[in-house]
Amino acid sequence: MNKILTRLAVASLLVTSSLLSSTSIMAQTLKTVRVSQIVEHPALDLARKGVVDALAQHGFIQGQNLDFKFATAQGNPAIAVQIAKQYVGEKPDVLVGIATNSAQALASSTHTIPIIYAAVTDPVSAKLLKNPQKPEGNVTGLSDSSPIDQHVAMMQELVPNLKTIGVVYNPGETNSLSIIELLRKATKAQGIKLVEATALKTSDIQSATQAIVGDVDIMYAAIDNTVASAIDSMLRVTNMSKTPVFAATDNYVTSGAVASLALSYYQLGIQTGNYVAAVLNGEKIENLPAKTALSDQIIVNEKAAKKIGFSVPKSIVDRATKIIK
Amino acid sequence: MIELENIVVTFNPGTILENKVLRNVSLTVPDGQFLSIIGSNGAGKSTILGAVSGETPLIRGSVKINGQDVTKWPVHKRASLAARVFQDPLAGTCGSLSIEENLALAYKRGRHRGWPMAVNNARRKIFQERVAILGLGLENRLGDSIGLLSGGQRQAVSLIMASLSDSKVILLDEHTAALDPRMALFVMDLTEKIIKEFNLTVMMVTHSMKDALAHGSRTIMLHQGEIVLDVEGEQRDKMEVKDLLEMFSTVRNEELSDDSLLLS
Amino acid sequence: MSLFAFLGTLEIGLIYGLVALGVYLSFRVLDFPDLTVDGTFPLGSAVAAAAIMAGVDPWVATLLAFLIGGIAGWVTAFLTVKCGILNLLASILTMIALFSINVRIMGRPNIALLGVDTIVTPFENMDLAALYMRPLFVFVMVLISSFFIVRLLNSDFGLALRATGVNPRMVKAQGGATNFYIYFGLALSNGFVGLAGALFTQLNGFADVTSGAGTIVVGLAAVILGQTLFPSRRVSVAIFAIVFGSVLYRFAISLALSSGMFGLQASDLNLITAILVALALIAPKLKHAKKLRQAVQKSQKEG
Repeated sequence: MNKILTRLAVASLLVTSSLLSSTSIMAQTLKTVRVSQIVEHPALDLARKGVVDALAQHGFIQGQNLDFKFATAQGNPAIAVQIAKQYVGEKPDVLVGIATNSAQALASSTHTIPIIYAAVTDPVSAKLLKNPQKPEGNVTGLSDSSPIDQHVAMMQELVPNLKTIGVVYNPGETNSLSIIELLRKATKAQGIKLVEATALKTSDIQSATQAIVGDVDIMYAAIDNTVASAIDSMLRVTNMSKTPVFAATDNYVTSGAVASLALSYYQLGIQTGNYVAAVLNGEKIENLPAKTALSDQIIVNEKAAKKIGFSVPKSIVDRATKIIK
Repeated sequence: MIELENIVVTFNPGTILENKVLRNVSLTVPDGQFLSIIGSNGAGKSTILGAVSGETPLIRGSVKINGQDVTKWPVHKRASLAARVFQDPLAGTCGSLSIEENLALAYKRGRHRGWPMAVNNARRKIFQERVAILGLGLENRLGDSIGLLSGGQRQAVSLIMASLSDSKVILLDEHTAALDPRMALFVMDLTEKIIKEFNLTVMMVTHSMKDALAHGSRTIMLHQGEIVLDVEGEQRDKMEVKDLLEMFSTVRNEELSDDSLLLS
Repeated sequence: MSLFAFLGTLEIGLIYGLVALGVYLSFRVLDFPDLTVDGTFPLGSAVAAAAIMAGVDPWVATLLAFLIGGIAGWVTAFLTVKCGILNLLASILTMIALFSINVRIMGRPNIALLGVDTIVTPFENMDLAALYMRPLFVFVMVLISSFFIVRLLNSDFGLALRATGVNPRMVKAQGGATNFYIYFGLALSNGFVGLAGALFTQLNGFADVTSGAGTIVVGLAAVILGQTLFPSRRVSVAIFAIVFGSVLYRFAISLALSSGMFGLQASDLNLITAILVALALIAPKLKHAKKLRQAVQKSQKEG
């Protein structure tokens, strides 16, 4: 009997402590923001930083008039759901969902608390909203879909007589599938051959790159969480084969791609933060149209280009917003 | 009735380790007969039981139980016709289940196992009656794990299990070999009791010539895969162990003299 | 913790209680380490989501998820029983194959069901009561499933199933078709995991191919945690224990998520799970060693 009692005591202790673990008592002027992120990697982390900085720019400071918390689900949708339940239960003023699964988990847990999503490539097919111009529910946000046509044009500018583009992606990521489809259309329209390789996890990126790098004129590093987490291993391969890499996001250029036409995830985060601040100041969701973050940042990495003996055309260097030497 | 016809069993056929364990063995055990099987190690006595139970694949030959040709039947199908008690008490029972659960498994041998509760009051009564004859007090502990019992007690329960279903054939594979002398005696007495009460047909493999003669009505001896001795009735009743031994060494000596002939 | 979060944690703990039931059937009853479940959970999600989007009635879609999950278990059993592949490896093969199959079924890696009619929709339209109806609904499903499994395992059929995982040679000697039991056990096990996936998808509005990673670990944690707290040879106690273990595990995660509590973060989850399961596995051994020591000390005193 003693043993059963002890065990029940331990179990109830566990349950009680999780029940009691709560956020601090909030003063009336304290605004609460809760951020749910699907996984931690540089691009998404930058977006989150952008949110924090934007809020600060609008006068919301953590500890003073802002109660800001975030949690990451480590790529696990079930954890994303638990985070959603936890945060919705805290009745924050605004919820932020970074990436599709986290945003979906939040959206299914509440139809009243405002949700601003960040870095969701296709919010309409993710059923987060129906009408991007005038969001009909409690959800709006910033999409990170790439301007694929612009990217292909830029790659043609980088490599004269471009014949083949190579791309590695994770078919298990929704965003990547949309990007690949757009890429297929765009390259076909331009008469360029697209060579694809798939990687189901970060450790597959290297072998996937090795499989196709020899057949292509340029590698396209897409916005794909798996690629983002293993960009270094991809670059190791392309550096050895002296193949230039074109980046869809600025992080990749810093790591060693030769050029990028990117949206800045940090800027995406800032724009998301702007929306959050607007809602905190009383703005309604329907007046905040769902936007796609602008891609206007051209970054050139001359150091990386020199390493593989590639010369970036002057026309691009002149338009660059930043040059890494 | 058990009928073995022209059984050939070879281990590792076609390799260096090829071993013709049973060479063209034929044997008929009539209903109600208690047959004991003896022989030196490797002579093939356990293999003969394996041929009947289905655990040993045959190169050639056929096996019939109660007139049914079971040669192509898998082990679990033949179990409906013949019960078995293994040498290792742990092999014949499920250690993590209770005594009554083990009995319930045996109770359904040969019958369709479906939705009805495995252990209910009616069955428990039956089990209590059967187990009571052991005189071990187990009928009051049916819910205990069978793992709490000693090897001998488990073997005793195995015997009860073997007599629980409708099958009239029982295969005993050196079932007292792993027990201490006192327990072995107890189990052997129990074996006699059960066989008599249910009028079973028995094939008992034993390494003890004393037991082989003391129990049953017929004894065969296997040597190098063949039946070299088959005694029953009055001739057998008069025999003692030394007579068996004499017969045993006669067979071996004949083999030996063949060798010595070759060598000289 | 808010009431909303409490009920939400309870709800997901109960959904994974079905996973725990499945893992109990394979791992504990059949002694078969079955990693198929990492693929079966998203399979159930995929089947339910794809069917519902195609206009199939949500209840039928859920049943389909159960049946097709069962087929996945059947495949693993086939690879082991008929093809002689080691049980763990066979399950990994099925699990890997299911990843591609799941993407095929859905047509894309993620299907959203937000705003689409599911089996929970009638409850969601109840406004305030919906908060309680959802976990209650899952609770009823888990209750029915549990009762069914307890009754099954206590039947003649179930007893033979249980014995197969302990001593298959003995079961065969008692006329039990062990191969059939393995097929049945794995199919039923994965059926429940598929059902869990279907419920998860409909309750949370999305199906994602990545939702399966780590399912076996969650199931094992629930089974081991529950059975360490409530050890018993009785099937009814075991089943209650593992469902309780699943819920408890989710509350433990909640604890970790409420960052600020001991400075724990969500990224510490895997480590916490590993420690939890390891402790649960070591505890009985420590207890046994302690008993042994006490017995030695006692006899030394007497002697």
